[in-house]
Amino acid sequence: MVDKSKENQLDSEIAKRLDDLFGEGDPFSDEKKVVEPKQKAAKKNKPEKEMFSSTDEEILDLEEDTADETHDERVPDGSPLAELKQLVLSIDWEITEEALDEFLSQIDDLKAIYKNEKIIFMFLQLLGSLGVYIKTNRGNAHPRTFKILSSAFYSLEEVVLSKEMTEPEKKKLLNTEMDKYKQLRTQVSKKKAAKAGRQEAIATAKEGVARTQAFQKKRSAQPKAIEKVANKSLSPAEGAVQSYADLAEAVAELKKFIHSELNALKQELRILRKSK
Amino acid sequence: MAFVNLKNKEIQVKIVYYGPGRGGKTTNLEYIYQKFRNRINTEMVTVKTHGDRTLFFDFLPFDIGVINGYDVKIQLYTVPGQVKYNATRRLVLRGVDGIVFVADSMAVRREKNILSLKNLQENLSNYKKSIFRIPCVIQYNKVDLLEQGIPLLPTDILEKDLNSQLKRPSFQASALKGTNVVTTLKKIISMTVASIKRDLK
Repeated sequence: MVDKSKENQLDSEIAKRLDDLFGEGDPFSDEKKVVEPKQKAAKKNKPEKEMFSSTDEEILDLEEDTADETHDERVPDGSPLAELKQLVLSIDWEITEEALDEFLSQIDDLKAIYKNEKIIFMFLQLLGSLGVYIKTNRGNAHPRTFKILSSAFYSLEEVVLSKEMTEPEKKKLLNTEMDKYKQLRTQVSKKKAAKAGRQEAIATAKEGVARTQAFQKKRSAQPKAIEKVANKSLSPAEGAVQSYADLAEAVAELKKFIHSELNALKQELRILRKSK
Repeated sequence: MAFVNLKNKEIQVKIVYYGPGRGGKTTNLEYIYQKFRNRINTEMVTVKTHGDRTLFFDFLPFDIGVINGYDVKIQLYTVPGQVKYNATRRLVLRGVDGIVFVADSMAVRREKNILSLKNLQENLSNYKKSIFRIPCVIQYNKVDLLEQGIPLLPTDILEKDLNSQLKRPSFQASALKGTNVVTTLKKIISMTVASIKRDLK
């Protein structure tokens, strides 16, 4: 009895403290939406593991039984874009193979439906291209891609659902989205070019370093007798000139590497500045 | 078990927001931080990837003052929801005292919620903790999406999927708008502090 009253005292103390901290600051709180847990009694005696694994079967059954019902209840207007909207949001939350495949197949279906409506068809083409790009690059896709995908979809939705929109207005929306898409393409190709430039420079430098190392190795491994013979063909002055020439070549290669690396970095900085 | 410093009369309570990727765990913490930063007088630590996904974890500590003679410090954590970061999730769960399971109400997320809850059970069992005993609140997030015509799972389906065995307090919420974010937080704090108090006896 004493314990119970102590517990209640603790509860009210915590509640008071939390009210002080968060009390007035939660104007959105809607206690009506609280779902009260039902009593545990029915399955209280079951072992925990058994209880949880039995849920799996229930879940599978439920999925089969309710999937269609849920969908029918929640799709508001049977819009042909409803499924595409879900998929766009899915991709925005998390890029999965499944969502992307469904997205692309949905685009194909809609293209067949709207094949005679040029503006809608072009919107779908644009969305399809973005989908293919995301599928290829996944997490490495340009961060703006997802914003452009959403924006293009909402413009398409406006075009499809708005009955009062005139053709020039629709065209204007399409052009805006096309511009965004083109900008993205330019940014992506610049980024690719910069990356390729860097890789090329690195490869050249690596080759240069390897050649220098090979040359040094060759020099140090050369037996003295052979060196003498080798030097016989060249005067001492000529031999020195030869090794200086190799060294100069290596230095030139290194310079070239540093130069191209700096250029690539400059290019990347330019792209970053532009994208901001 | 919470970190209890008997000498300083201080209790550190660790609450972890768990759930599928992009379900709104970070948004819950961000809402609390944005709304009450002046009152809780603390900083939120968060690390994100370029795609705005939690890479490691979010951390929001605050003090709720002296309760029963102990200074109670709350630490809120989130875990990265993406499947591939399970090692991080396990790490964040170490020493957890209470869980908020943030489920995504979107119909297309149904399977991910279930998988995430199972993953929570598995990861807790690594620390010899039971999902059936640890203080836990379930939040059905993103209810605001209904206004935009996005298909959501009805609450009874969510309850059947996720709470039919656990029987934990659950709330419909919109972390983005703040609906029931604080209600969820208050509930988990009071459940967890009460549980720690019972363990201390």
